[in-house]
Amino acid sequence: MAGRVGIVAVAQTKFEERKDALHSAELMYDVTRDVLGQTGLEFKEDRTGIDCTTVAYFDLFGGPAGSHMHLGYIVGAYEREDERVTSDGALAVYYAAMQILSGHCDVVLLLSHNKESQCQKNQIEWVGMDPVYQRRVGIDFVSAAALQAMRYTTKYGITPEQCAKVVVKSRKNAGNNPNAMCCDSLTVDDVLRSAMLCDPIRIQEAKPVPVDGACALILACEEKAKKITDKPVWITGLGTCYDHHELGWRELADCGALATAAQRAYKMAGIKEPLKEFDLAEVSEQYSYQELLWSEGLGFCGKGEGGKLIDSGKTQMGGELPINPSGGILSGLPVCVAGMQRVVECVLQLRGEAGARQVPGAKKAVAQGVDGPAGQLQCVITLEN
Amino acid sequence: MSTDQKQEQEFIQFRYPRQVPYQHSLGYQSKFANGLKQGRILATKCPVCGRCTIPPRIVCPFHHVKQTEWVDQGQRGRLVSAFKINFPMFDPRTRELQSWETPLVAVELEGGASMDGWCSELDTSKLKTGMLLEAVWRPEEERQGRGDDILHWKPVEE
Repeated sequence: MAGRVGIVAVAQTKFEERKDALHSAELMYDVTRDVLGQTGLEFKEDRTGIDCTTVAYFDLFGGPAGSHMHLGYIVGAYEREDERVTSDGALAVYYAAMQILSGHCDVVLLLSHNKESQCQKNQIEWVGMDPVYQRRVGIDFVSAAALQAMRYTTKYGITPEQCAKVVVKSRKNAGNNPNAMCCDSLTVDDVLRSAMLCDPIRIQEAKPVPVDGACALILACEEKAKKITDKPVWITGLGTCYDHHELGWRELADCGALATAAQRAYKMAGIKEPLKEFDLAEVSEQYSYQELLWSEGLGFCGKGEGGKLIDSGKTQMGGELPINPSGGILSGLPVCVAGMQRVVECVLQLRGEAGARQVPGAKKAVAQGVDGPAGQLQCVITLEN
Repeated sequence: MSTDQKQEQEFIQFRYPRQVPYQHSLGYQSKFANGLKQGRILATKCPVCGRCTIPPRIVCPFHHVKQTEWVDQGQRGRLVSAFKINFPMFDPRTRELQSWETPLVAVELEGGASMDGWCSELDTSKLKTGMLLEAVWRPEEERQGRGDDILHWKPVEE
């Protein structure tokens, strides 16, 4: 990478099923003031503060609102530079890093918020499908995931028990995370006895819906990052990749787009053996099978070996590579916020500030963000302290 | 495209009357909505510049400090601008095409905040910048805490 980009502050709300008493502005305000307070920075025009803000937000979740224009003032948008990323929050981190690496900005404040309780997630995701062909047969992101789960588990002989273990692990990890929404103790049997949502995905194997919350972080160029904090976390690699939107054009049992995004990031970061080199991973698993499939795409194991990986215990806390010490998306995160929150969790780990969910001595981490049906868009960010 | 090509096939468009339901939490803005129900217009006030804002804002858009003070803006204000829509537009409340006979006005309230609304004077030539207007409310039992709890603004003789 031409220069280094450091993350100098992170903040997040507690994630809850409904925050009916709060306006979206209040979620945004709390995390914005939190990161500003940590750094002492303010919104400035003279390159002595926040140069630009970038907000990741899906208009459709909050009610079409002209790209969030009525809420820009909270992130200091008045008479200043303000950008929007209408995709997963990890993409906003990627975009902000590019803003800094290009020299356009020195310091960027990032924020993502979502109140899924204000709408119906499956309807929004249905609107995300091709309007002429896929919407007409009612495919949304859940049914797309079910198609992928069926194809993946069938091709590679992944068992329902192996998928259920992901949920059990996530909820157990979430018990150490005071911001997590679902931290109930589950067994494999509990998961497999839960109602079928969309065959083969059961209710307990899907991301809880709705979830409300927000997170924010501040990115800075190397020179300023060192001045702002004693504990910068460096972005060492970035990669994104789009797959086909059409599910029939993809080999759903393999995640080529993620493998490509990961290789782009790893090449930049000099990562050769991800399972050994990373100390933790925060991945975007909206469904249980996805942690196994994404583990393959991220190179933690070979194709079709995701089931064996969870069986090995290597991805548990205390294992070789704990995946989602935070509890991940299966413990309750809003879409869009999820990818940025993956990065926030990695930063807390690399700063040694993750509390009861801390991976001891964590030095390198990888965060993954996802958007689109069945992981169409993939974003991989590698980090180091 | 040539006329011949056009005749080869029918070009098709699909219509999706998308109706995704939403519910919006007003949160701290509930104070404003509850004020409307009581026939009061409340604005947030910046502790730095003293500016009053409607819609109420959690932070001053100019100074980014939290606004905790609420100020009653009174029932009267001065006309800043007025216009009438002369061609059919979407009424955002009903999604129906319609033209409004009622002029829209921007009003600077006695308390310093600004807000928009309709005007009872249909002849825009009689609407002059700076003229005094007064809020005319729905009957109390019909108010819902929405912007249209104020039916319109009525010119006041001075």
